[in-house]
Amino acid sequence: MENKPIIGIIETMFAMLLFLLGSSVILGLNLTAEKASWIVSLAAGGAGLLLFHIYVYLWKNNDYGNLALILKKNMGKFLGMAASLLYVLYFAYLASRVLADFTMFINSTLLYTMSPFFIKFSIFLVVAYTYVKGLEAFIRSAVIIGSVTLLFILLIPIWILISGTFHWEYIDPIFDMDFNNIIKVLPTMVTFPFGELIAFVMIFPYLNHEHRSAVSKNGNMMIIFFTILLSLISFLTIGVLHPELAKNYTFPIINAIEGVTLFDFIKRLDVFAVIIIIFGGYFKIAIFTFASINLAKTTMNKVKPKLLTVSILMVILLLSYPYAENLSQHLEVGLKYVPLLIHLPLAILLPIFIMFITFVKKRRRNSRLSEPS
Amino acid sequence: MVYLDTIADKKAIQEHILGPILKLDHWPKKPIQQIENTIEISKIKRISDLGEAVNELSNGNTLIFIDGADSCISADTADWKDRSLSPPQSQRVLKGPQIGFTELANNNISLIKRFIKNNQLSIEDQTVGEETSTGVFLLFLADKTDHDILNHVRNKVKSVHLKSILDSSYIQESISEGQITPFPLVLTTERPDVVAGHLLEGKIAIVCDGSPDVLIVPALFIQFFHSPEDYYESSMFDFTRLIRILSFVTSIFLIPFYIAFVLFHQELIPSELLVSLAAQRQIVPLPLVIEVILLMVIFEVLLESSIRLPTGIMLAFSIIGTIILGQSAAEAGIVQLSTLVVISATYVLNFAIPVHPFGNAIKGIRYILVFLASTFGLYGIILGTIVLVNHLASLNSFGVPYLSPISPVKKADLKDTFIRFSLKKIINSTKRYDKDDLLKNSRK
Repeated sequence: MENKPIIGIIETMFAMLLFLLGSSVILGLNLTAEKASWIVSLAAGGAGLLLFHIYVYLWKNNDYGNLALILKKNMGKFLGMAASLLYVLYFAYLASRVLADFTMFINSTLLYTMSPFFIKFSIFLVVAYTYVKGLEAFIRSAVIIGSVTLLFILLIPIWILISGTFHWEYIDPIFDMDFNNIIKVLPTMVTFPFGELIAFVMIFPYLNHEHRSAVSKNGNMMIIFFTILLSLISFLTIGVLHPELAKNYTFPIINAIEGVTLFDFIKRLDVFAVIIIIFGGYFKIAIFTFASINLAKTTMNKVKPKLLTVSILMVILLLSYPYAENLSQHLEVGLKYVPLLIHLPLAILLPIFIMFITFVKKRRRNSRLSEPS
Repeated sequence: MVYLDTIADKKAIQEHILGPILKLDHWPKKPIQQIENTIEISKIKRISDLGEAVNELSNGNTLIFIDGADSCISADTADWKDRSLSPPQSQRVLKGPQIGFTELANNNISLIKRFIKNNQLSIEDQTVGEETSTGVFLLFLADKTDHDILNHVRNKVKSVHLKSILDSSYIQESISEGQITPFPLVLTTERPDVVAGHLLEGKIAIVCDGSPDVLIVPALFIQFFHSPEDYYESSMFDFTRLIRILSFVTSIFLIPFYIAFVLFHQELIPSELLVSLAAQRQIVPLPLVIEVILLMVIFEVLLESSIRLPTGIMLAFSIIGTIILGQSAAEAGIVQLSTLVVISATYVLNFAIPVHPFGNAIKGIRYILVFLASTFGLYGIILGTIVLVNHLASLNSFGVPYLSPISPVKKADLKDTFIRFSLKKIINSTKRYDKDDLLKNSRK
């Protein structure tokens, strides 16, 4: 399948920001490191930057192809196809996980009595609609939704600071760290949300040719910006909620903003946080869906595309059921087992492995080119 | 000699055709050439085909038949009745040119030409509609217009298959077929200065004979918020565009948010307000959603009927419509005062959009959002917004993405989007439009 160049770099970067914001602000804040959480965020961001460059390196040095082509080129036809199928499932699984996260979040913050099925199904319909409208429209809508989100998210720290709910003594002394704790949490933070950026290897091939070279530079800026934002938000959340209590909240950021009151009139500003999270969650589900379906289409190019699309959409919807019996179980799975058993091999180890193959191949090709002369 | 009494200028026939012929001393040997040279009219044609002759006749021309000749002469004596130039009705401005188009295409084109005295200005004419033979003119600056877009528009106009065309809106509807959307993909204007401005940006104007509205393509979403006045007033600290956009957004979301907050998220309303809302609710019988929809429909009826009223009853109507209907309905306990406030605010905000059809476009969207808000609350509104933004992002107006230059982002063009920068920065730079796949493919 040929990838038509249809999207621009700025739109893609907005989509990336929303993708990263997605569920990480709700669930990925991961305040178990207590006072050091904001350092963890920064460290994870550094590692995430490295990971992102591995993905970009893979993409650039394999003829700007998508994941299926990269895998096929470096692992052979059979193994590559098997790996692609694994990734199809991986993306579908992630989409369904976010879908479940999202449903639970809505159920516990906005619609307490609504049946989860309706929420799941409604957002699922919107994602299906997005898929029908195509990648181009989806990525373009990121600019508008992203600008609104940015506006809100930049207001949140200001509100927290001027409303007086921030307690400096909760954070003080700033550099009182427990390094064991940091190291324990770090891997989870790196894989989620940064490891999930591997889905963008399925999006980058659609970039306009003249924008290809700008990916690493703009991506860097976006990830650094996001890391600082994440770190700032965890810093403020801890300052509002107290380090030892904050880790027990399911949605700490919401609870932190809930307490904010402006001028005794504007209360419950958490609506803004909720809007950001819904936008982000939607973007995350949609990008995983696009990644999964497009990868499946490239891998199994003999099967009818429509059949693949419908079946993968169904898989996403069905997968979101089995492990989501209750919130704590869901989070337990999501933050303990998924990073270790699924993210680690697929988002980190395999890409690094392929990177070595690519690197060696490139070396060999270069030396072969230089020999005759 | 044959002419149609009602559309031919009899004075011109008398003075410039009959007069000179009668003054001839002797009957010429080569009558046709001789008479052609005698007639004092600039636009003369020789015709030998009957059908064509009838066509000329119905265009107001005078046919001169000469005994024994195999062709006749057609002289242009058309005299179409037209109103005199007047200020535009629907796009009024305080400052700037106060001249509007009339129904005669020739007039309109000359008005545009007066703004752009440039030899690059090209005019292509076509005849559309079998039964009305309406003249349709494409105007563009040959050196500025993108040729892919031009070809696309040209083909679209050529493929208009309507038997009769009475107004430019017929053409607007037929050329923007293919995309299902309530949003207008063509900009209509009554003002020659607006057309000139857009032509200079490299757009294409479509002038349709018999209509005072000129179509401009491609139209972008943001341009429906631009008023000609923006360019005539100083741009320093001028946020009127932002206010228009803000009022547009608010007029979409105000009612849905009201419903969502009252029905689903009462904890988000400040408690003092909540108490007063609850007190009002007690005496009102209808469920909130029904009440809102009912009032929305009544407002639409009020607007609709006020357009058609003779000026004499306007005053009485506005008193009955607004004060008696609204105020007393609330006092009688049929509707809630806060609902009334929210809905009338919505319609007031709606009028801040300078281009009228755009206000109409969002009516349907508002109803859909009201439905979503009443089933899913805030969450439903956000879902609706996502779909709306997606829909807007997927649209294109003749190959140009509807949301450009906001998305796809075009930094150079953003200077004239939300806030107008100084004229020096925006006028002297040439605009280039992003093109969608559609056109990229057709070029190959």
